[in-house]
Amino acid sequence: MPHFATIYHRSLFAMGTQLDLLVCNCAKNEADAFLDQSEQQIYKWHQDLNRFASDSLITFLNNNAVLNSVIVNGEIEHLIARSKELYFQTNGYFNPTIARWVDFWKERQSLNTAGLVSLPDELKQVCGMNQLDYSTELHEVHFQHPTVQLDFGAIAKGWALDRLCEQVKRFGINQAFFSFGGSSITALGTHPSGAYWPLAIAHAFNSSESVLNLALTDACVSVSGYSANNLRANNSKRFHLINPKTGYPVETTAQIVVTGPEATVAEALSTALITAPEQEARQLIALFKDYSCYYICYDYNNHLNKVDKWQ
Amino acid sequence: MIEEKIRSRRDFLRQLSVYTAGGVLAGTMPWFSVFADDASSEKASPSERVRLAVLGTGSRGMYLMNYLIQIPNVDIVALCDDYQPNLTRALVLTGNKAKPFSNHKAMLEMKDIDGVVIATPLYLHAQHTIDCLQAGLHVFCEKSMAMTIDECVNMVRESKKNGKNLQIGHQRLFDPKYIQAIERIKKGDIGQVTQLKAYWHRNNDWRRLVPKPDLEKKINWRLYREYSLGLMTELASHQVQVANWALGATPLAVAGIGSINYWKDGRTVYDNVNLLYEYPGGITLMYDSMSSNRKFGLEEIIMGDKGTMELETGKVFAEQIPPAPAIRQLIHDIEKGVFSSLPIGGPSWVPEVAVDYEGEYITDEKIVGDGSDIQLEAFVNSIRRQAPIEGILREGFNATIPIILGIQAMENKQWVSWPEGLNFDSIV
Repeated sequence: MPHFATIYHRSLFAMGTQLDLLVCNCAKNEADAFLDQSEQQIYKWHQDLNRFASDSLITFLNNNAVLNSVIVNGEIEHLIARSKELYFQTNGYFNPTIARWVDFWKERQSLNTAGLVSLPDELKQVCGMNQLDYSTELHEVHFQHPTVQLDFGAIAKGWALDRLCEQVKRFGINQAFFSFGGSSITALGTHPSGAYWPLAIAHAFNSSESVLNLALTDACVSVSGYSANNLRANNSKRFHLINPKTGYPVETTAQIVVTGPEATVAEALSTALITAPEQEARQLIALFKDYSCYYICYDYNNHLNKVDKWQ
Repeated sequence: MIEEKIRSRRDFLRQLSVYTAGGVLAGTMPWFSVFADDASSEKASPSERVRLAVLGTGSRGMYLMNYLIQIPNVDIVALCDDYQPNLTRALVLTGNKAKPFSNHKAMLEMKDIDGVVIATPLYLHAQHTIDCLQAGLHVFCEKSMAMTIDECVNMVRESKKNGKNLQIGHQRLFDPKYIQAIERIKKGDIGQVTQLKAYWHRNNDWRRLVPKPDLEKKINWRLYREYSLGLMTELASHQVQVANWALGATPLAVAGIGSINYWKDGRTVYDNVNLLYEYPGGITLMYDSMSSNRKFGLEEIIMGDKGTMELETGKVFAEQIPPAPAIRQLIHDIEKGVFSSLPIGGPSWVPEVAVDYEGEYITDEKIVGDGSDIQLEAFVNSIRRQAPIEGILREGFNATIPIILGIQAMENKQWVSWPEGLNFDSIV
């Protein structure tokens, strides 16, 4: 009789997408305990980090930190600290302070006037984490300019994956697979039937075709950029990426895939590299020795143009 | 596109009739055997013409006629209504081919009628049905069945005595969406059913234009207690029928409150009703209907320990959210010892396309319609087969009794139990 792996799973919706949690080859009570605890934590993080919820921690921070210093702790403080590091490490291309620009373009797009307008004067101030004062001693945050508004959407899933990974190891579980919507993934240990977790990046416009194969062991992957989901009904592109240096939407027909040991970093990098000019992006990824970047480009007919490895 | 939908529906009916013949659905939906393409249907040749009369040509009668004229080899040979404008309008729909009557007894003297479709006001259902059955005709009678329990019993008795089909117009029994939902409930997809909620909310006076004041009660009969049981017979009966069907049971008892709290315009039926039905096993149906707010619309919600079904919107919500399709494949592979690539990709998190768990659709969206057309095809088939449709009258009877009991509970402000000894099968 062949021995097949035991597997336990849980699915939930959080942070704007579906999270699937799989753990393998462990006792049922360990799996249940991990999955129960994770579910509770994810929902809490979702609530705390949702800037669209009026009673979330991030909303409180965004509403008050421009006038007064706000004391932060726990997950928010950790995220702010990591984001500040990554902001400087990516030369500002990962920038979680541009929520106002995102909202502005989203509103213009809903009115179908995106191509007709420029940023209003009150939003022309380029903002960044350098305008966010954070005191590690006092655990205080202060925004230097009212344009600064935090949105951890580009990093929160990766950050949550890293926390889940730490947690699952504490339960003594060594084989696990966590996926946020198939675009932010952590693969712990190996596939129960192989030496790694085999993944295939699907063609953005033909999901039955794959454009890149990956073999993950104790590693993460983050996918950012162009996909069929970014096309609106009239075939125009949905602006979900904003150039943090200019405040204007990024027009791209490319995807960036980043793999590496830490999901938080992979998430920040995939967002930074899709908005940075190619030359600068190549220089940036070279600074992250443990990470690999794949550049997948489609032509304007949505046919695959090329797949490049940048490191 | 239309052909594809019709083909889908045909395939669906054929599949259902096979299931029914094979016993898979025999316990829950025996009425679909009327579509079975088996040896016993030799005498039910689709080419055989069926001659129908329509008794009651108001809005519902016209609605049904619009389906009847689309059924091949069906002739509407007679029409009857004592309100001339309705009769004239219906006559035009038949191309002036039907024979008009203002008195149903005169119509029943015609020799060349096979069946009657009754869409008269509720208080006339019993008398009209019994007269038609006694004339040797098959009867399709709009819901609800009748005003009183005695009338319902007499209708059943007459149908059994004459061996004719008596079908009450609960179209959800033929609605592909409902059929698949009930099938999934019976298979255990939502686990053990423990509670049901149903509601029908509208914000209008439910009135029709009256050309002369003396026609008020004739035209707006739904608003008067001597002619109708109001929201209960016109709306709730559909939803109680669904609850019975889902549970395979009838209520043990009911309590409720009804009142006229908004439309104080001379009507004598409640403009809002609120009831609690007790089913076997401690299962409850919470029901309400109102006429002064439409925010929540209408819905039947069936809750089990593994999931929830919303039958009007046709959605099922698992208690445990199912894995994404690719993850489902990964789980399958791991369980089978298969090592193959998992497709990934898709958009990053962008707040403007944020998603939440919205359940899954119960049925294939290609299959359209609410069952109104299929139930009439079933009626025509039963005439060709010259036999009652199995189980269909029981559903109509069991859906109507709780409605009448609910009215009693609200009017007397007390719990009302299902009458001892009242059983469809024991009526002879």
